[in-house]
Amino acid sequence: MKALNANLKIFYQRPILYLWYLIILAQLPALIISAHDINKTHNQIGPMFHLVMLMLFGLLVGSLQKEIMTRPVTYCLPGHHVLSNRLIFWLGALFTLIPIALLFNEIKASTDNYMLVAATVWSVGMAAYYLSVWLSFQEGYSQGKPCLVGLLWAIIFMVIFFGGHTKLWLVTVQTPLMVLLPSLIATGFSHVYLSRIKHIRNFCGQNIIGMFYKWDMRKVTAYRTAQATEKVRHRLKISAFVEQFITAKMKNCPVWKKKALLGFIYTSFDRMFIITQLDAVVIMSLLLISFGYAFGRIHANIPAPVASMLDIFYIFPVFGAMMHTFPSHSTLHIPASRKDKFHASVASAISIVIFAMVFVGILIGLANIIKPYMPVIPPHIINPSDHSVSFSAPSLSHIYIIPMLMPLGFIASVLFNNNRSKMMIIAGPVVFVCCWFYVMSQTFLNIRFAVPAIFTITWLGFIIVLQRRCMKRSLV
Amino acid sequence: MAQKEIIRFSQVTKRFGRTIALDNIDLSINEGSIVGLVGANGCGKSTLIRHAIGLYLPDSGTCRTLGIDAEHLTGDEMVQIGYVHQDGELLDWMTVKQHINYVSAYYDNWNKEMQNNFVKQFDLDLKARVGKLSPGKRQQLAILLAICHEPKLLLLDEPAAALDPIARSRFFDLLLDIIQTQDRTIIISSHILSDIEKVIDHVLIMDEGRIINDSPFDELLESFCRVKLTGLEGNVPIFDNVVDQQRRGKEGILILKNADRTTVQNTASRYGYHCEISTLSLEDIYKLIINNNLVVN
Repeated sequence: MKALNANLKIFYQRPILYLWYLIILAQLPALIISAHDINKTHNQIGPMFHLVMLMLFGLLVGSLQKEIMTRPVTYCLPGHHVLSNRLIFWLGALFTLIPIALLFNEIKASTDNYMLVAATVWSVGMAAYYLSVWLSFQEGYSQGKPCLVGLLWAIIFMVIFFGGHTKLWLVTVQTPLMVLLPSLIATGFSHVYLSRIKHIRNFCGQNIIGMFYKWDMRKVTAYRTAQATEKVRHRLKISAFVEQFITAKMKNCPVWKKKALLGFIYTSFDRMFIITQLDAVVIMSLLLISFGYAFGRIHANIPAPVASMLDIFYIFPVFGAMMHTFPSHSTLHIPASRKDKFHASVASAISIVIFAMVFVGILIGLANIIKPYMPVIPPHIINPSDHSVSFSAPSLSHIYIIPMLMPLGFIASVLFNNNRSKMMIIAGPVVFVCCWFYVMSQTFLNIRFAVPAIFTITWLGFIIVLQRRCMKRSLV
Repeated sequence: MAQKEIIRFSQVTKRFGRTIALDNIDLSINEGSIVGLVGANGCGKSTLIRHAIGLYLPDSGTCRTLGIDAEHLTGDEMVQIGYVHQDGELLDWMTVKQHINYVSAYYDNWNKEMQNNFVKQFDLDLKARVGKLSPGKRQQLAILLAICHEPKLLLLDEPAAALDPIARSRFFDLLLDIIQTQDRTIIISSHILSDIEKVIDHVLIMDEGRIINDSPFDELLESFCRVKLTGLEGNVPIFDNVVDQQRRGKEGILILKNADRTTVQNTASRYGYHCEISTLSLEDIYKLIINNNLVVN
């Protein structure tokens, strides 16, 4: 088999990729529809779809090529590692032509230098594409930076929020060379950077987690382990004290059930503190600020019904709960019965909920404290907008949403413990819709006893599912 | 006096989708047995062991361990069991010392001396992160964690698979020491048959979810013999129960099952051939059984 054939096989042999192709192609109608408005309105969102599409494509290609590069054969066989980078370039170069073909008439109508502008649009597309390829290479291995791909979405969000896409379009049309040259340099630099043998060697044999098997728990666990052992250098001194305290308590405890409870809670939190650490604080804070301004903007335009949308912030822990692994599913031999494991799992769920409430509560409390001091963004910065945008913070009184809805995530985790990809495809949307339904149905929740009723149903559902899994099913 | 039954499988069947992992297994393991569980990859060895500690539940049949249903094993019974998992799940973010401290906290009878002996023998670095250990060292740590509370029932699922020859030899030497305790039952599954035959006294051979041999090891060894005939002229003499035969010129090698060695010797002498009878290794017997679809019992 030729190297190229072997490389391209991954693009059509992995079923999950077809979902990605659908997401990427879904940008096309939006691009076609919005392309006609480029010369009519001040809101040139069309080219932004072009960039988003290319960034998605870049993530896809980057992640797959990164995965291919980790295979030792890619490094060892002649011509294989060179091929990866050539493929990254040619796929990007060809794919970037699609939106240009769709936008061409509009470009032609915008300027006399339409060929130069088209070339500029192509090079900007390539720069955006390479940015996402580069980001996908930086994330997902033990020495990698976590959540960099998330940064990409933050960039897109910020660009749109501050009207950067409109400004970029105007500069591209009016002074194309000013955009063409830097974007060509960025593209060339990225291509050379990714082609370096040092870079390729760095990935050979790496334990990575690509974007397309994020829910394969064996790979996720291996990746998390690799990350945890890297991060463990920064382990807090307090954990040594906690270890001594807990193990001493366990040794002196005469009851198995209590020993198991203490042990399982200790291991759950010990790992969680190492893995999450500052990342979670930074990400949640960024999300809070982004949502604060984003919903502040929506609120300024459409006041009443979406005010409660800020409560969406309380839903993030539900997705965290979906990824929680319960003590009942551990194969490490511990003297604990199935019943003990069930109790330990319930205790671990309660502890995680309390932890999430404290964590999110502190963040939202801080957001409420800083709210009066957050700057108001004047209208001329945000394009297009006639309103200034102020920072909004969710109400701390709605924190009950966390314990009320987190059991939904736990149920998904228990049911799909061995198949997280299925969980994200089936259970993920179901949980999201449930949560969304909650956010949008504030009137329903004003009915007396609605909250206690939902609370009881979700926890009861979780306990029944967990109990059935622990007592009546195979545990691994 | 009848020996106490430690594990009892009655008509246990387990399916994973369309695959039958355990097919109507009937099995009894007595206290003090050292059982070798032998079979190809995917034949059901790990599944059988996981049923014994209640991690898996059978689709039909019952599985009793230490006298009670495996799914109802409580902490009191679990503390009498040691288990080395094939994939060796460990808490990778901990140091070796922290991990040992964590697991030992569960057991009142943790043998610190044995722990130190293992650490020394296996040359384990107590400060190293578990996640950074080589597969061999991880396996050694898993063995230490399974053994140091001196369990009554020790289940070792491929414990030596990741060990290098020297570590493997050390491990089996240590296992021989542990076996000295009379009432300890050990079930050990392994691909390296030459190693386990040093320690076992009973053999279970599995194939496609079925047990095709369940017999004392000595009995199994006795039931097969290799007969080397030299000075052959013309046809090889006719023996009963020939399982396999090879001939090279004047030399012939026969594998016989349930043959009386004196009769074989006499028959060879009658023809005037020189005859050497030897015992087969477990590996040879295993290959014979699998390749010739022999059901020993």
